[in-house]
Amino acid sequence: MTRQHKDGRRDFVTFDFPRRIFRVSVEGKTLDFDIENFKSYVLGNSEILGQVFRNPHFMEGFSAFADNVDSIKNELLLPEIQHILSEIWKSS
Amino acid sequence: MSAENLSETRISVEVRAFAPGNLPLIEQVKIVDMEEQLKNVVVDYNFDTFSFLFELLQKAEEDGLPLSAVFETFEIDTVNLAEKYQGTNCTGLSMLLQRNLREQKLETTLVPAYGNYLITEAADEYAEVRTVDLVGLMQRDLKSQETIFLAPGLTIDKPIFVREGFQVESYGNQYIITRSGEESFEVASVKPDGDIVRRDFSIKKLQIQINRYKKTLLEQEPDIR
Repeated sequence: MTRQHKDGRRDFVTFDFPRRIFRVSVEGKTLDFDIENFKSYVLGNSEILGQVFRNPHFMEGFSAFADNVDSIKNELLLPEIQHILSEIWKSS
Repeated sequence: MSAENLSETRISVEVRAFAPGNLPLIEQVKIVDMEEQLKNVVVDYNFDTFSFLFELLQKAEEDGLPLSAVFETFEIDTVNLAEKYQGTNCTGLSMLLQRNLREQKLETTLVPAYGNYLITEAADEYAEVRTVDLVGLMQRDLKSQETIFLAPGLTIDKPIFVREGFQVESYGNQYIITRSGEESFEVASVKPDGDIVRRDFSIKKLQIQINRYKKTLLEQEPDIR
C-alpha cells in the first residue's frame, strides 16, 4: 500500500512473507515489525496511520491480514514463488 | 483448493489488434482536463494491492469459509475496490481514470505492458501482463494526431506523448518514450539512482481472464470502433 504525496514523498506498508515482517514507512521513518508488534503498532498509531493512508478499512484490513498470514501463504501464494522467495532470503 | 490446483491457475490475457486511429479524437485544449483528472487519481488514491486481500478476507469471515473456497468464486471489481479502500492496483487505477475521463467525453482504452519482472518465471507466467495503463488519441492540429499515454498505475501524474524521446519527470523519476512504433512503445523509467526499468506497452485492446475459474478481471469496454 503506497500513499503518494504531492511533494513527492511516499509512505508505504509492505509484507515480506518469507521473513514474516511488515515494513512500514511513514513520514520518512522506515520500521520493520514482526506480526505481533505490527498489530500493536497499528493499534497504537491508528489515528496517524488513518490520516496518512486514508484507507477507511486500514485497521480491520491489516488486523485480518495479520491474523491470516499463514492461511494466505498456504492457500493463495504460489508454492514455487514461496520456494524462490525463501531461497533468496537464505542466500542474502 | 490444493497447492497443485493453485499452481495450475493462470491469468490469461486476450488481446486483439487495435488501431488508435479508431479512438474518438480528443481536442488539444482538453489536455488540461485530462491532466487534472490524472493528477487527481495519482494523488487521491493509493497504489494498493492489499485491497484485494482485505476484500477477500472480509468475505471469508462473512461467509465462514476458507480463503481458498472464497477465492474460487471471488468476483474482482477493481474500481469498486478503489472507491472502498481508496486504492487499488494499476488496472483499477487506470479503469478509475478511464471512467472519470469518460464522464467528460474523453475516451481512452486500456493497454497492457508485457515483460519479465516478477521474481520467478512462474510468477510471470501466472500474470503475463506487467502493467495496465491507458492511451488516447489527441488531435494535434488539423492534419495530425498523436497518441497520449496516461499511466496512473505507474504513478505518473502527467500525460505522455508517444513519440520517440519524449520525456517527463514525475515524483523524482524520469520517463522516456523509446522504441515507439505503430503497434507498441517502450517506457523507460529512470530512477534517481540511475536504475532503469523498461516496460513494453502493446497498443492492443485488452481482456483478461483467470482461465481456471473463467473470471473476467476487466469490465467489458464499449466497442469504440
